[in-house]
Amino acid sequence: MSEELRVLLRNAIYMGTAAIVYWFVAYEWAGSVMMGVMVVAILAFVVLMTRLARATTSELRDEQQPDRLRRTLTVPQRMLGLEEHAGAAHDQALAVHEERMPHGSIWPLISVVAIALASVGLVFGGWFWVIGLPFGLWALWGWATQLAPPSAATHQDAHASFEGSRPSASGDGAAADRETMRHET
Amino acid sequence: MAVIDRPVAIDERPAPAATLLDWLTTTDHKKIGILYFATSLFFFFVSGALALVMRAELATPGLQFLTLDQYNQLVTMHGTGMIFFFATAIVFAFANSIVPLHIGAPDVAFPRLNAFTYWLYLFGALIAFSGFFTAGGAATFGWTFYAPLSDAQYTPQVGADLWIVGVALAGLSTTLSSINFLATIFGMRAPGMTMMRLSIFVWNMIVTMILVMFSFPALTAALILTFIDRNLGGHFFEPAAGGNAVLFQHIFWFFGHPEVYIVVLPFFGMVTEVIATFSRKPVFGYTGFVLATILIGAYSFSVWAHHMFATGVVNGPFFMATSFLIAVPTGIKFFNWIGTMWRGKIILKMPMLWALGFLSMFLIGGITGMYLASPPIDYPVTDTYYVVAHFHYTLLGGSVFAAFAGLYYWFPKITGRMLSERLGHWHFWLSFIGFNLTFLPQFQLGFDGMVRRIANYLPSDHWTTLNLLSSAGSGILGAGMVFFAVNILWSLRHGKVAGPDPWGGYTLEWATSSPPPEHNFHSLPPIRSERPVWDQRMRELGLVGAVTAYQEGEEPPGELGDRNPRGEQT
Repeated sequence: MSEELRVLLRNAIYMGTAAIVYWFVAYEWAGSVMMGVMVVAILAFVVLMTRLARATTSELRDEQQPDRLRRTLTVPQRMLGLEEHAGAAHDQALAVHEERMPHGSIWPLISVVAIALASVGLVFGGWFWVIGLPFGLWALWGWATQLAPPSAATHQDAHASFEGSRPSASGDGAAADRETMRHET
Repeated sequence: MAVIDRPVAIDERPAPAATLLDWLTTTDHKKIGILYFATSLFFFFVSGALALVMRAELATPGLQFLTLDQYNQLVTMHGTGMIFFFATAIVFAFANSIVPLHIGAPDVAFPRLNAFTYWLYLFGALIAFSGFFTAGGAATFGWTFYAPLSDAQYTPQVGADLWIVGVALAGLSTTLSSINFLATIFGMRAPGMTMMRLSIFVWNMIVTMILVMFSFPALTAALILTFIDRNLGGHFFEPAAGGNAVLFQHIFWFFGHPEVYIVVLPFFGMVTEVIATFSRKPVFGYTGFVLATILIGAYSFSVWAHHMFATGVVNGPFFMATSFLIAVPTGIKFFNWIGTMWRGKIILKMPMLWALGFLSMFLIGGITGMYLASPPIDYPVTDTYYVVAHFHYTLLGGSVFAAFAGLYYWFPKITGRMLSERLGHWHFWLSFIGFNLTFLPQFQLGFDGMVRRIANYLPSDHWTTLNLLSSAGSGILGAGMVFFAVNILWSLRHGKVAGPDPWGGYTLEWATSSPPPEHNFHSLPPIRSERPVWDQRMRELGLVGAVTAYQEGEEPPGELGDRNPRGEQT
C-alpha cells in the first residue's frame, strides 16, 4: 500500500471515529453528516486512486507484489505506516531526456473569459451570456482540436523522462507509472 | 552515467521571450508561479492599503473620513483579499514554483489545467473587487458572509453578488489546482523519490491540497445556497421561512477552519526547509514532522464549531477537546524546529530571520488560540479585538512572515537574482516592530470590550490610546512593506546573480540552475534521502561512508566545513 493511500486512510479513520463520537455527544446532525460525508469522500477517493494505480502499474505489481497471505497480515501495519520502505536503489545521477514540453495555449484564458462572462451574467442579466457563449464554444473547439490528434498530443505532452534504473516497486512506482502512462496515452 | 551535468549559469541560458503573448499562453509551471506571485502580492498590497485606511479611521474616536457603509466595505474586501486572493493564492505560487523542482518533475501533471486555474483565480478576484465600481459599492457582510446578514434584505447591493460569484470562481480554481498538484506529487516523482523521501515542504503541500480538495466544496455550496437565497427566492438560511441560519455557520466553518490550515501548513513546510538550511543540519525528526502534519490535517476537520461557541447550539466539550488536540502536533513541529536548530551553525540571512520571526509570532498566535478554544474564555471575547489580534498573529505574524522567509529563500531560484539583504533588514525590522505595535494592543482592546468591525467609538470608552498605538504601528508595518516592494523591483534588475545554489541547500531545486531550464533539470542526483543535494555534496567531498552511516542512524564520521551533518563541531 502506497504512502499516499495511507495518508488518506488515516484521515478517514480519524474522521469516522470523530463523527461517531460527535454524534453520541452532540446529537447534532449537520456536523455528523458533514464528517460522515468526509469519510465517504475520502474512501471514494482512495478506491479511485487504487484502481487508477492498479491500471497503470500492473506490470510492476505482477513482478514484485508479495503473496496474498502476507499482504493480508500486514494490512494494519501498513495502514499505520509501520512497514519498512525498501527504497529505490540507484547510485548514479540520472540524465534527463530533454523532450519537448507542452506548448503554450491560449484556450485556458479564453475558457476563463467565457466562464467569467457567464458568471457575471448571473448578476447583471442574460446578455452577458450572449457575449460569453461564443467565447465558450470557441474555447471548447480550440482546446479540443489542440489536443485532438493522439499522436501529436502524446508527443507534445511528453515530459522529460529519465535514463537510468527504474525504481523498485516497493520503493516508488511513480516514475515508472509515468512511463507506463505515457506509453498508454 | 555517473557524472552530473553542471547546471547552466544564468548568463548562458537563452533570453526568455517574455512577450505579452507568452505570458498569456504559458503553460510552464514556473511562469505560472510568477503570475501567481505577482497577482497575489498585488492583492496583498491592495488589501493592506484598505487596512491602513481602516486603521487611520480608528486612530481617534468618532468618524473621521469614512461612512459606516464604506468602512464595512473595507473590512469585507480586506479580509477577502487577504484570505482568498493573497494567502490562499500565494500557496499556489509556491506550489507552482517549487513543488515540481522538489520532486524532480519537469512540470505539473496537467499544465493547461494549471493555466486555466490561474486565469480563473485572477478573473474571480477581479470580479469580487469590481464591486467597488458599482453604485452600491462592494460587499459589506465580512469575508465570512454570515446569514442572514448576507441576504438580499440586509445586503442588497449588486457588489455582494459580484463578491459571491468572484469568490466561487476563485474557490473552483483552488479546488482544481489542488487536484493538479496531488496528481503531480503522487504521479510524477523522480526515480528514487519515495514518499518518505519527499521534502517536508512537499509533505505539507500534500496535506494542504487534501484539505483544499475536501473543504472548498463546502465553501462553494455555501456560496451557491447564499446566491439562491438572494436572487432566486431560496430560504435555506432564513429561519422565518423554515431555513436555518446556524446551518450556514456549520457549512461555512467546515470550510473555514481547514482554510486556516490551508494558509498555514505550506508555510510550516517553508520554514522547515529554511531552518534546516540555515542551521546547517538535516531536519530533526523527519517522520515526526510528517505525522504531525497529517494529524493537523485530520484534526482540522473536526474543530469547526469552536468558531460557533457563541451560538450556544454546539457541543462545547467536544470541540474544545478536539481544538486542544491540535496543539499536540503543532507542539511537535515546534519541538522539531528547535531540535533542528539545536547545536547547529545558525546563519542569520534574511530567510532565517523571517523564519525566526515566524516562530515567535506564530507561537503567540497559537497560544492565544488555545484560550479561544475554551468556551468559558471564548464567550466574553467572541467578536472582540482579542480575536482580531489572535488571528493576525497566526496569519500575518505566522503565515505572512513565513511566506517572506520562503520568498527570500526561493527568490534566487525563481528569478536568478538575490534579494538585497540591506533592504531586507529594513523590511524585516519595520514589519516586526510595526506588526507587534499594531496587534499587541488589540489583545487588551479585546479584553476592554472593543468589538470588531466597528468604525466608531466614544472617548468615554477609553480605547483611544491603544487604538492610536495600533494605528501608528500599522503605519510602520506599511512602511516595511514599501521596502519589500522596492527590494523586489530593484533586485529583479540589479540583484546579485544567484548561481544554482546560493544558500547551500539540501533539496533538489538546488541541483539545477537559477532559474531552472524549461524542463527543470539536465540531470538529477541519486535520491536516497529527503536531502539528495546534501548527499551529493557529501559524496563529492568523499564522505560517502558518512552519508550511509548517518542514514542508518549512526554518528557520521565526516564533516562539512567545520561541522558534521548533525551540525556538531568536529
